[in-house]
Amino acid sequence: MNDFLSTYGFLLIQALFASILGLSLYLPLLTGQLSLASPGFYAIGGYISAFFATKVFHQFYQPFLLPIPNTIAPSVVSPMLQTIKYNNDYPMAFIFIQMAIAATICLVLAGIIGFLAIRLRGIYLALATIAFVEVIRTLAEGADDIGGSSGIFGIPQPFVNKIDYAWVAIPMLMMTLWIIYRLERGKMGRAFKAIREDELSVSASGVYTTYYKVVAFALGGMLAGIVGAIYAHFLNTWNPRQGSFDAGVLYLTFVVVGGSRTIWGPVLAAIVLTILPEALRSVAGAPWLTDFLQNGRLILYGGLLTGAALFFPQGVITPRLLNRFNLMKRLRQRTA
Amino acid sequence: MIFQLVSGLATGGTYAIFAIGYTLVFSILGIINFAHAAIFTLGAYFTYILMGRNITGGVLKGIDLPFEMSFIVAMLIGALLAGLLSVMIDAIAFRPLRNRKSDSLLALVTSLGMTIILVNGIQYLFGTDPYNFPAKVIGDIPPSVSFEIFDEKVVIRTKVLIVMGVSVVIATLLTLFITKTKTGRGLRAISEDPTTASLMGINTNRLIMIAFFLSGFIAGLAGTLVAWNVSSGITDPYFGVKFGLKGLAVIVLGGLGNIPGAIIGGLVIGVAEAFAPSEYSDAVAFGILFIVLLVRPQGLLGQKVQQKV
Repeated sequence: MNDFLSTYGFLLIQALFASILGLSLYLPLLTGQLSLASPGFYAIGGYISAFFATKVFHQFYQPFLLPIPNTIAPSVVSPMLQTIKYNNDYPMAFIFIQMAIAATICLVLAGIIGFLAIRLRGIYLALATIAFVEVIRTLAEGADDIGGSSGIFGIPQPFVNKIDYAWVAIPMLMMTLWIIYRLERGKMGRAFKAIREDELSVSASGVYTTYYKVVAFALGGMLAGIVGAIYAHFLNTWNPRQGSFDAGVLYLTFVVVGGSRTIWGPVLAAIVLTILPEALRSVAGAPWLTDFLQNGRLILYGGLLTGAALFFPQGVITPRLLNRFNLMKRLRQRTA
Repeated sequence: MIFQLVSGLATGGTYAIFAIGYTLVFSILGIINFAHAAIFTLGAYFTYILMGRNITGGVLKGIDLPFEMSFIVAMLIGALLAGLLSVMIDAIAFRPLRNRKSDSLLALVTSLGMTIILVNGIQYLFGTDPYNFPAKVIGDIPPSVSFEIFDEKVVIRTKVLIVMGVSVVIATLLTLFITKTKTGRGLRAISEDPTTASLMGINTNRLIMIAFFLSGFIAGLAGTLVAWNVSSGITDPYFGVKFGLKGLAVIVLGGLGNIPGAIIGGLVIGVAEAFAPSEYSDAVAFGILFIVLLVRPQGLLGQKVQQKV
């Protein structure tokens, strides 16, 4: 088990965070808006976290330093110092503060951008959000205060092993799922879905649709920002490439393949699509197959994205599918 | 000042030639064919392979083709192949959605999927190596032309002039084709209403195939010319995708679906980038895209479309 966790720990955590990012795209889609803005807010959240951890909070705690024995050659020492200096005692409290700051800033920013962009419909909104992501990326590349195109390095670690990030990722995913689940069944969620089905008649019956659309957009942005804040610690480094257009397409794949009608769709698709190529790679016998799964993984994603949009427009996991499972459960209870 | 203007127009010319085919498909079907960027890239790769040059990376490493073509012949055949590929992409990714009368957002999703397949397919087959075209592929032309405006000496690279000339010729021919020929009239009818058009005896599937072929052909030609002009070769499999994103800004600024608008939009964005500080020049195009969408979604030359209820 320990062996398994040390090999696949990184991947498992990656899958958990990817599923939350999938949900950040799912939220605006609840109101029928295709937004690819998530990577932008994800990048902003990561930069906020990385900036506070390396430039502000680092003075409030003493990194636990190991004495370096004299017998080690100096050439070995310097890379060692990097890992030792930021050992594993960065306080979790600081990370939670950073996540809160990132959440607030992203919520406000997404609210403003959402309010401006929400009058755009369909394809135009998608284009505007792509533009937003690219503007953030190029601004980050140009800003030398946050490392320019090489980014910020040596973000301190709160844990020894990457798998320990599960203590943050699992509660976060469960909380997100619970909140969205409750939201969908409340007044807000009913308004979201009504707007998705027919915006015109909803607004004609006196619902202020702009408010609900902006809220859905802003919540998605906030969620992506929070994931970015913790992910910067997880990756130990943060750079402009984290929030690229490609990342947006990847999250879109999760939502389109998994399904945009239930919260389980994006989550399961994100977990399966992140882990499956790696898992297949380790069991693949032929060398060309191993090579393809390593270098051609994105070709598979592209195929899945196209195939799902063509053959499963509602995704693989649809409400009907879930109902069928519920029905079976009920039947079993009755017979028992 | 003049120097920046000239270099801006040069960059803008490459944006314009990229955007013509992009906007053509939008003008007829109302969809953003993101795969246009991938076809553009592949056009350059086709030309390179047809010239019988060495492949130094990826799965196809070391494959030697038994023939060698001159640059111009290879470029035209490469563009032809790109056109056929474009028709194939339509058949796989767009026609099923069209027959089902799906939301145009779904077409954006499938075209993103096709782009990922193609770009990563290129990377898988050819690696990330740069592939340069040989020098002097179109005979002995002077490397640059110089002249004087307002007592200032201006130097323009000949390649830039060729790219600009080709894009103006293509845009003119395409506009004439769309407005004057019978096929062009049919295409415009389809853009108004595909169902009525087919009831009037227009073979919609055939005409849409022609439109995709033309768009792909132009993309292939543009890919080769831009690769040859900007960096004297293909830098990596992603070079077209960068144009794909900027191209969005260009066609939205010019007015989505407006062919002369694509050229004007390209030149405006090229010049605007040249005047911005170099580290932020990429932000200019996307800033313009964002602002144009908010303030004037129909673009510079487009006409306002009333939302139908």
